[in-house]
Amino acid sequence: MDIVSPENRFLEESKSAELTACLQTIQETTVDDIAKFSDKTCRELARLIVCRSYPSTVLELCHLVVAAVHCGTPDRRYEPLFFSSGTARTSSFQSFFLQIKNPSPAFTFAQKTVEINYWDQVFTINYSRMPVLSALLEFLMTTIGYGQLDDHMAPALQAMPAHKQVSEMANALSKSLYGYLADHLPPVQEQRKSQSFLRFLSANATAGLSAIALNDNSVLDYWLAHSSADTNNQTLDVKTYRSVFRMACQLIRILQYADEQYRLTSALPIGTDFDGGEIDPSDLEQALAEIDPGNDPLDDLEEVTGAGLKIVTKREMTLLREVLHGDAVGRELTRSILRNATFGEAQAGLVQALRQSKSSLSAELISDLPDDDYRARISQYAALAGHLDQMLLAILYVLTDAGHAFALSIALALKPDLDLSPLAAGVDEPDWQDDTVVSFTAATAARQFFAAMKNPDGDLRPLFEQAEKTYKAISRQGFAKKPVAQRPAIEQFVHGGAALMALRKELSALLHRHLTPIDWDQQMQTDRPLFRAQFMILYGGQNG
Amino acid sequence: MVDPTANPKYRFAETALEALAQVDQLLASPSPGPKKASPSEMHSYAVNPDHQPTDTLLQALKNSPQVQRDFHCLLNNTAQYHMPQVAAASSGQIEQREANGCKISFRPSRADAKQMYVIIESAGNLNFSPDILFVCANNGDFHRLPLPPAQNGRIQLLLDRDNEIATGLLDIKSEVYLK
Repeated sequence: MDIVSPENRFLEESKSAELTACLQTIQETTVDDIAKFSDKTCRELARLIVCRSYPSTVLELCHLVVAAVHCGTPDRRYEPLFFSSGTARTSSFQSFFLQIKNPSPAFTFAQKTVEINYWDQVFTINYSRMPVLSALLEFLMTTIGYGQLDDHMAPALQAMPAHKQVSEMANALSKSLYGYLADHLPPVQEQRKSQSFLRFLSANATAGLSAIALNDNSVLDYWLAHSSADTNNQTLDVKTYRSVFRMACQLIRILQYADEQYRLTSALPIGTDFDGGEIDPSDLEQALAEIDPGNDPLDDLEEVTGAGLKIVTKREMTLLREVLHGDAVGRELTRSILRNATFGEAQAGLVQALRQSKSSLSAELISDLPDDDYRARISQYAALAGHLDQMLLAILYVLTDAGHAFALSIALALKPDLDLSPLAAGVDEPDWQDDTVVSFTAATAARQFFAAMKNPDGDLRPLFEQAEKTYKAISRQGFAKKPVAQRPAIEQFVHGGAALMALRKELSALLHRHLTPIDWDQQMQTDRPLFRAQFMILYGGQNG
Repeated sequence: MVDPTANPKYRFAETALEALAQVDQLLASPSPGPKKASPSEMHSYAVNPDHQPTDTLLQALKNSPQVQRDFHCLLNNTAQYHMPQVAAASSGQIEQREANGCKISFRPSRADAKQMYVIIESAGNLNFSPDILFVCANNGDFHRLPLPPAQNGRIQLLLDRDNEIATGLLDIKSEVYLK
């Protein structure tokens, strides 16, 4: 194992702290008390930085600056787009561009994209990319500085530049960022933080490193064996069960991704010869984007909630994040999820108490832990599942009221046995071989669905009444007395509903499939002494 | 025994896990070092008269040469009027500043010698109504004053002479911005 001298580690940590402070600033930026950048955007930015795959994103940013300056706004500056258009969400940027009264003919503002027609080439930017481009701009301002950034942007600020000029601008800007990161971010290949975990799993696996080698026992065994080691000589914090569990969750997703790639292409997406420079940073970033939990429905739900539609409270969101880690984790690390929720939380409390007391903790305090047992936790998750159902019903009411086709999907998610066959009555089946056929049947069925929902004598009426009653009983932000009818608000309900459906499905699988075969009382009896003994070693004065 | 690290899947897992650990580390909070000034806040402070600055921004504007340079640059790009250092004034104090049709003049108060009037006006532009006045002192300090609405293109202020805005306005080495 690599040994890092204390002096060098201090220097490395100082450099990383500078970069962490930059990212932290971006995470903490607010607009009217709402986080300007979603967690998803912050993680996407961090991945670009860590993988050093930012050049293509810097190029997009430079084109966006051209669009901001030359699109037809009076001040011909890029700052208003990034700093006066509200929170950095797709919809904010879309509104900014679609509201321009007399756009320059060099630009085409469509529903999903901005098209820049340079004399030598066309460049298209999706509105959905703009949040991360905005975060990148702020990152550049905190790292290389606004003055230097503005100097790089100078060619875009006068007359409309050529596509080639924008590419040159982007290259120069990427070079500046490269120079900054060379001083502040050690390359991924030089990190060896997770080596001990991987070696432990490999040593304990019989069939090579695969998802099978990683299970509830190996996570617990690794933590028990390594958490009390001398942390001064370790490059990775494995003292907390939470950090080990988190690493295990990430590894499960990584191995699952690797298996899928092998199945599809018989090869991994990246070269594995680090020293030979085989790794393509953008491939690694693309792989991480699929592996990283930043792209899951939890983030979508948080984004919708942050935008003012309070489908879940902060406490409910915390509980969802505690229990849902993806299907593979739910299936393979079921016990670890509950251990993390109960003993992980208890350990966080101990760490907090230790910081306040500045001395070792009493045996009584440790022996009282955890506050909740597994069964109590599972009951909370079951109640949470009930809440998700209620919110989905309320969203069904809003979307039915608005005549949005997504209501059908929600109705089927809530009532999988719903018989919708009568809706097909009177619909002539079109020739599905004909490519020009748009789903006429679906449109007609949707119309009949809404009619059936509102028909006092229809079969779907009870579901509609239940949805209406549920909606009217909710008094949370975004759930007005009368459902909103504006399209952007309806779209928020659709996004929220889609995220809820996915989360509800995962939670249901966990509650009804993965958790049920386990005797949780017995499990608590087995786990409690193990965790308490380890907490005593870590915090009870036996380990300094 | 086979070396597991020679397995491509192992090495991929290692690279991906290290990268995600670095992502987590970068996004971990709180960072032990001093906080950075937020670009969004810098912009708000430069253009929005109602913005209440955080201590982090004020400290950075006072102590960080890079933030001072950046903020100066931001004012250059966002302010409506810029009055640079005054070149020729032997006494080191001035009676008025002028730039691009905008004038700031200074008159002593007859009622109180410790006070002075600052009159900000535009030649002929009745829509003239800047929201904020910035004084950039020669030592790098920034002083900011949200302005009352203009009356017929004219804003009149009564300031104590020892007020840092007043001393900055009268100092030939200061720069003044109006947004």
